[in-house]
Amino acid sequence: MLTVDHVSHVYQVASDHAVEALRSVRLAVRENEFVCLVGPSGCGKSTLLRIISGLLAPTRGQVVINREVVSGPHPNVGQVFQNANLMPWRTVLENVTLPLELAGISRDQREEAAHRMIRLVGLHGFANRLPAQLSGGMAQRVAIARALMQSPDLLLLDEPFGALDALTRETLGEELLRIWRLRSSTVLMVTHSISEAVLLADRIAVMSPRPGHIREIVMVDLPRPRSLDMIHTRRAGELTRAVRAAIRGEDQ
Amino acid sequence: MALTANQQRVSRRRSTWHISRVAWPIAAFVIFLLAWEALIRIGDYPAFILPGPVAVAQKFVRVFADGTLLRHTGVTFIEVTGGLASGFTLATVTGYAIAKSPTLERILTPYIVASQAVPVVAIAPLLIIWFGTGITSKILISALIVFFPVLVTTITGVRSVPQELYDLMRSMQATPWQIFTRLEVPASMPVLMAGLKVGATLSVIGAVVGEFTGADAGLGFMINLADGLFDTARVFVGVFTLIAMALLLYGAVALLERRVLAWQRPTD
Ligand SMILES: Nc1ncnc2c1ncn2[C@@H]1O[C@H](COP(=O)(O)OP(=O)(O)O)[C@@H](O)[C@H]1O
Ligand SMILES: [Mg+2]
Repeated sequence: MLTVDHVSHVYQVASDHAVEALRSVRLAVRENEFVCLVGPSGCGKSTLLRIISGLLAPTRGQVVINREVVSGPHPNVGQVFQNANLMPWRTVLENVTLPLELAGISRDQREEAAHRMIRLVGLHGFANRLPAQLSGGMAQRVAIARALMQSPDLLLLDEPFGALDALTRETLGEELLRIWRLRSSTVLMVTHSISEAVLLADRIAVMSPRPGHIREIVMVDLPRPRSLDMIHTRRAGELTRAVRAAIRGEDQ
Repeated sequence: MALTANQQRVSRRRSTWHISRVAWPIAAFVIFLLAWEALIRIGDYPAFILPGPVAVAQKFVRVFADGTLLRHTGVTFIEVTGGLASGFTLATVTGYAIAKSPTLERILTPYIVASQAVPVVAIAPLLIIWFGTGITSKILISALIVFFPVLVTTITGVRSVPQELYDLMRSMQATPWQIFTRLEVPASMPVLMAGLKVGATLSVIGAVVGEFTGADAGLGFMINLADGLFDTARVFVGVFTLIAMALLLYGAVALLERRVLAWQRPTD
């Protein structure tokens, strides 16, 4: 479904100063697979996501989504950033309808779709609130609803729960699993929480420090549907240790 | 339809809020008038130095009744609104272009700074020579004085749009026009409204500076003429009318701001 083919990226900061962020990243994600991307901070995870979403052109290599080479932002890809990135002057409803508004869908149609999506992310009754009236967790739910509006085949999440407290984070993780089951789309999510990755993902891609590349891929063979309690199982503990070792660059 | 207890509480809170908002300025104004009258009584100044509030009120009625005041107020009002509208429009368009183009910024900045280094009173005579003593020259002078602060706020406003929101718009395949209307305009609105407020007050100053330099109508002209005739009461009438006009304009902009920026104070 998604193929990242030897993608390298160098940021030309100044004429005499360049930062090599990614070096020959290879990654393949199957249809409806949930893949988490972990790695030390500054290793190029956000850069990789920006390249996959078409916001940034790689220095070398290419990204293929559904057999099409990515050359720019595409409605097939939905994106959620670390900050909810809501427009503060728009209500929840208006934020969620934005992608369809930009695509020229009629008001009635897009509002109907948005109301359904708002219910799906558990914000029924909040459609007319402004972002300033929402908690961090609620704002991130709105961002997820917005990203799902164009029914993307691929959902990219860049530390979507990174700014939330631990409890909200767990709840939203479970919610994301529920939504993913209902909507059946492919998910690639960056997280800095190993247990979150173990709980959510089918596979965990571990990146090396900068210049980033995929150092190891850990298969998560916990049964689905998953629940929060599974993190305390022996298998989950082994997987967590394996991922941590991979991040540190140790052989198991 | 019966009001719920909550609605009643809200409406009561609103009405008291309104009364205190109007009552205090009025009380202050009455005290000001009394103090003024007291000063006249104690100091016993001649009317051409400091006329009392009663004399000014009488003069007001006279110039209002014979149509002089309305005519001059009308002229100044056209100059002020014309200057504000054209200065604001020109400044926002230029400001947007400068905010988006570093090249344009490098080219235009020296000229803009130079135009600000020269006081408007020094340029005003030139504009009067070139554009005559009618309202055109006053609109230009007013626009000139409005231009710079609005330009600066526009540049600040457009540059303050978060990069993440640009990324968001691009990831949703927004066209440049959609980015302009759905992101840049609403996002810079708070700063733009602040600029419009400053511009509203400056536009009055600009028009009056122009009228003092050379004019055949307008409140500034009326004041200047009355001053020459030692008709100090008429000067006061002119000054108060100008103040009222500035307040009215400022109030209108504040009202507009409340509407446009309603999202900044959500009612919970
Ligand atoms: N726009 C940019 N210009 C220059 N360097 C950048 C830019 N964005 C990121 N970098 C650098 O590239 C590296 C990878 O950044 P990023 O992809 O944000 O890492 P991560 O998301 O894994 O923390 C970092 O060293 C960062 O400083
Ligand atoms: Mg990052």
